[in-house]
Amino acid sequence: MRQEKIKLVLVLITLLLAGISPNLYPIAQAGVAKLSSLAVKFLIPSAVGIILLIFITRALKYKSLTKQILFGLLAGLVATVGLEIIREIGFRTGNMPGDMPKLIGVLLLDRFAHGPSFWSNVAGWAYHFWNGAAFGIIFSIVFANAQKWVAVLYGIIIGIVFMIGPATTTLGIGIFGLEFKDGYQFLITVTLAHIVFGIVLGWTLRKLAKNEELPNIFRRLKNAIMGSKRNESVN
Amino acid sequence: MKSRNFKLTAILLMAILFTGLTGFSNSLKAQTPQPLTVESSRDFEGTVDAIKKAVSNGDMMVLSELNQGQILSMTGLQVNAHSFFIGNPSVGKKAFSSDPSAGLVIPVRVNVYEKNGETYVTYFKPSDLFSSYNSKKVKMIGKKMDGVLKMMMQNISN
Repeated sequence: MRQEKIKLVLVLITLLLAGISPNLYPIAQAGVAKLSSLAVKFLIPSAVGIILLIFITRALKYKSLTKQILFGLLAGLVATVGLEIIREIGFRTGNMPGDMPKLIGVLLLDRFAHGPSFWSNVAGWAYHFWNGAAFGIIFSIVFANAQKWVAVLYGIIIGIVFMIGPATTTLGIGIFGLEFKDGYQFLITVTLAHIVFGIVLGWTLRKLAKNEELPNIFRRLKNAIMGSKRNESVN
Repeated sequence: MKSRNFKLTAILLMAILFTGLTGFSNSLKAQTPQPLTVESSRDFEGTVDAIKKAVSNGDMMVLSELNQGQILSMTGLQVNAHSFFIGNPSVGKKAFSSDPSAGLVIPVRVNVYEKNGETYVTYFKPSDLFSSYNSKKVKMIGKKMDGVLKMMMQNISN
């Protein structure tokens, strides 16, 4: 019972830390603070925190939790490759208003006035991929071995939230990018990219977890409240 | 006779109106600052470097730069364009102590761009921009900056 409560606390801390990175860019675009300072104060500590949690859960022998975080992270990275392919094609064919990772990079290194450089591009890509990893961890913990369509829906929701946030309005293309070109190019590219993200995320998670039954957050909550009859090695 | 007088009056009125409108539009034109454009004898990169040197020779500083071409490369547009914000602390102190709203025109902005293989430098004459200020000091700084920029442009075009 006590073990389950500790696991639940660790899960909640992981979710909190994973939720930081994806929110920083919209927060910066909303004018709250510079992305460069948010990165130093929140992004780097949250990433270090997640890496530490992997070691902590491993040391505590909470195998399923370690796997959930690791699998989510890896699946998120792989899924971002899928998303990036669609985004890059969209950008090169003129269906996106800008190169997002490059923009994020100059904001991260606070060098907008000078434009992108090699290192700002590296920083931008790293942030974009870390965001994907963070979304992967969140999905893995919240939904665990859910059906693939849940992952697709999850990807679509991420895309929608992105398109209605300040990240698009500050680009001058309006909500859903409706003011960009004919109004549908951005919407379709972003939605398609996030559908691919969801498909790859769901598929990769299943491949990594194979036949293991990983508990979702609701089961963990239930276990912590009601007490688990399951063996430690399973959960 | 009456009809002839009426026609003459109408022609006279129209002439006055036309002259008045032309004069009005000319005065409006005079109030709108026109950018000065100078063709550089160097290529784009050479002009950017030459501006930096010329600014220093004119006892001024490049306070900030905007690499507009690099920034716009993030949108997929390939263009050579670079903006400089030129001034110095002494000029800034004089202008701001006289009128704190001078930040609208100080530092002075100079733009370098490439078009059809030729490089141009363009800017608004500071005295034109500063003329809307009531402060004599600000106006004087505008005239002084005219001279500095003129000298810079001579360096670049030669």
